[in-house]
Amino acid sequence: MSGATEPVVDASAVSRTHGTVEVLAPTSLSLAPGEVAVVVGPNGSGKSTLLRLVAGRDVPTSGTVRVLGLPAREARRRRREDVALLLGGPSAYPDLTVAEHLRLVASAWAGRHPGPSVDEALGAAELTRVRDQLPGELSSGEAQMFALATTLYRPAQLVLLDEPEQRLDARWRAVARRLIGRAADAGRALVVATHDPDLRADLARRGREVELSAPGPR
Amino acid sequence: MTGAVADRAHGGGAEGAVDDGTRVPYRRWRRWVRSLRRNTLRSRAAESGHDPHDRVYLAYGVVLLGLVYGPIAWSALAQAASALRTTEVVAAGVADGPAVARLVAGGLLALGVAGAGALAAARAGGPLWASRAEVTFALSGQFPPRAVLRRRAAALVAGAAIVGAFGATALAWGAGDDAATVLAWGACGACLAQVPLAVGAAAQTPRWRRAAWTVVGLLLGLGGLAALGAALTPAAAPAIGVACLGPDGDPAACAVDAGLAPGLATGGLLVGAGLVGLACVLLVLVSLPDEVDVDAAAAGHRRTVAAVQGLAGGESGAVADVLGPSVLSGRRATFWPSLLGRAPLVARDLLGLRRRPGALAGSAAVGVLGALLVLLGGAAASAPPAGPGAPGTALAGTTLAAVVGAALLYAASATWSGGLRALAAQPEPGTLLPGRIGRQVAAHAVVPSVVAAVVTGLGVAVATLLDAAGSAGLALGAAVPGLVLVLVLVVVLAARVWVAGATSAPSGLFTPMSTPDGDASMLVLGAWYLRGWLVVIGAAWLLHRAGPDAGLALAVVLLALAGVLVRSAVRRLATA
Repeated sequence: MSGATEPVVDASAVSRTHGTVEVLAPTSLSLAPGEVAVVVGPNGSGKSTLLRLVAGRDVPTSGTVRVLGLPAREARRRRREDVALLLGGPSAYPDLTVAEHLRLVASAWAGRHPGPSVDEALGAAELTRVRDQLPGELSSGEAQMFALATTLYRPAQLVLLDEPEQRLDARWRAVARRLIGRAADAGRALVVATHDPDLRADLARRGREVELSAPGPR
Repeated sequence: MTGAVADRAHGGGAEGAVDDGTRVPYRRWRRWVRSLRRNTLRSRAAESGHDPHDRVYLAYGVVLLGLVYGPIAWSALAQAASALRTTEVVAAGVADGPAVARLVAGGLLALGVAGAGALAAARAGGPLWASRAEVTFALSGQFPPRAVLRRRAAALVAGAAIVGAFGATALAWGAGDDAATVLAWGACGACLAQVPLAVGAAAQTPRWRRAAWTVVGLLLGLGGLAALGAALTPAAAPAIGVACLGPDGDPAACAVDAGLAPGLATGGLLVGAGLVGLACVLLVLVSLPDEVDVDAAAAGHRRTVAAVQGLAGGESGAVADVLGPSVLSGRRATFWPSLLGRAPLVARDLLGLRRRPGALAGSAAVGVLGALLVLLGGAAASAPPAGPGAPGTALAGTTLAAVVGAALLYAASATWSGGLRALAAQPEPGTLLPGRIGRQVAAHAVVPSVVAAVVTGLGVAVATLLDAAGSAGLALGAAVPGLVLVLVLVVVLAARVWVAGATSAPSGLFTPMSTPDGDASMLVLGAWYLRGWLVVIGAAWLLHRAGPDAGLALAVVLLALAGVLVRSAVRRLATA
């Protein structure tokens, strides 16, 4: 991490409170281009909240979040091409098949899309079998893998993934780890919240780990 | 279902055979079991804090509302039907041919539209509905589905007959028929109202579904042809006229009101309607309950209940799922590679439309009709009438035509703007693709705009045809109707963008609003759900009321309104 390089993500003592409940204790995170951070912690510790703050979908109660040199809310509007998100379900069109989604992404990004081809991407995500299925026809695990594959298929400097392993079985968790690892190898900055110990270990080995404290007594 | 049929085939009075009717285990003790169930339901309702007499209150409320508003609605219908009065030249004995043709067209179209509604209801779990618990018992063979459905079918038959008779008698009375003829029309209405019911029930069965769609298609097609024929047929010129003089001695019109169509609602029509109605009732009561796909009916029922509960809670997202997954009959269609490279989102939207050819055709037909009505509504009221009995003379320049036309265009645009709706419904709208959200919204608006333009062109062509035949009463040479149509289209598309994706009502709408008539917050919530319709209808009404003089100023206002609506939607999507 070069000191001269502007951080992709710079969260400084950021916290979030809903009413009287602190859902994210003050947390700091700085991420250089191409760096990886894995956010871990028990349920309710604020992993998803931290990702939402970085994505600019929410505003912190205290502290500041800057993304790509802009306040996170501003970056959400002006630098959306540089940030890929998987914070909820897949951003899909119900009348396009799995393969057509990837084809649409590849065509829309045209010259800026570094590859791989649609077939290779489907093969890497082990989605070839359902390539002609509509999103509504996928199982929950397939839908999650489809969401992850399309999120990682589009070009981006920064990728935010909230529990990408959810609803995946052991085999597909391994596939998800491989896809995320490739994204990190491609030089993308990654912030991943996870409960999967293998993914946590893998990403911690590549970058840093942000461990959030358990919430107070409920 | 198969089991039930097999059992029946196996039965036939053979000793020891199990008859479907006796498979209900408590038939012998029916009264006792029913009273037990009643008591159990009452005690459960009381335990859960509900009033055991809720259903009684509900029935009381429905009857009360019917008694209060029924006569009002009947009078309003009768008043509206006064436009249907036909003239009869008594001396010549000439039947008013175009009037009869219009009546036939109106009847066929009304039946077709009601049938189309019934087809939609069939996808939403009706008209023969079944609950999940009933389906569990029915599919496990404890009782046949008809044990549950037949009683509901009987209630629906009675309800349809009442509605049909109600509407037909009001229309006939308003059109000036005598009491006997009104009764005959009422009987016809009661019988013919069974057609949409039978269509809906048939669409719930795998075996009859295609036939139901065919019947609706035929009704709409024949109705459309009859309407076109009636519009293009000039009114018969009376061979012999009756000269009348006004009080001042000048010649005056002396047309004789002769009802919907003189002498039509007798004999053959009554018998024909009766036979059709009887066939439909037999189908609904006897044949179809055994064949209804109760599993699909229960699923549709669940979706409908979920949508209604969501609406009450301020969430309209489930309404889009009421009809179940979209039927993509054109699924083999693929991207057009050249277009995909140049305009990916346009290619996407086009592919989406090509995959739903039926919906596209239906929406185009509705759109053409809407454009035609808007043109008729915008036509200068001073345009010379095309002739007695021409449909355009009744509708040209009326607010009703403009408003209904705009509403039809808005309804049709729902199909064209599927891509926009899908974009707005994404958890992170537009994050997969490059470009700001405003650009993506603009790209998604291309296909709806092009389809709207094509549909409008078709509407203008039909209006020109009618005008050339001298039966539309249009003044197409004037720019006003065209300008009105363009403005309505702009507002329709802007409203679609505005409404897209915002499925949750703002929480502020639930704040109680005290009025002399009670809490009006539910009224405001309803208005929020209908905001797109209200904006479009309001714009069409304003355009019509303002007239040509205020046209330019109003055009500027409406264009500004459209801009505000689109901007608001883009801002919401960008921060979603």
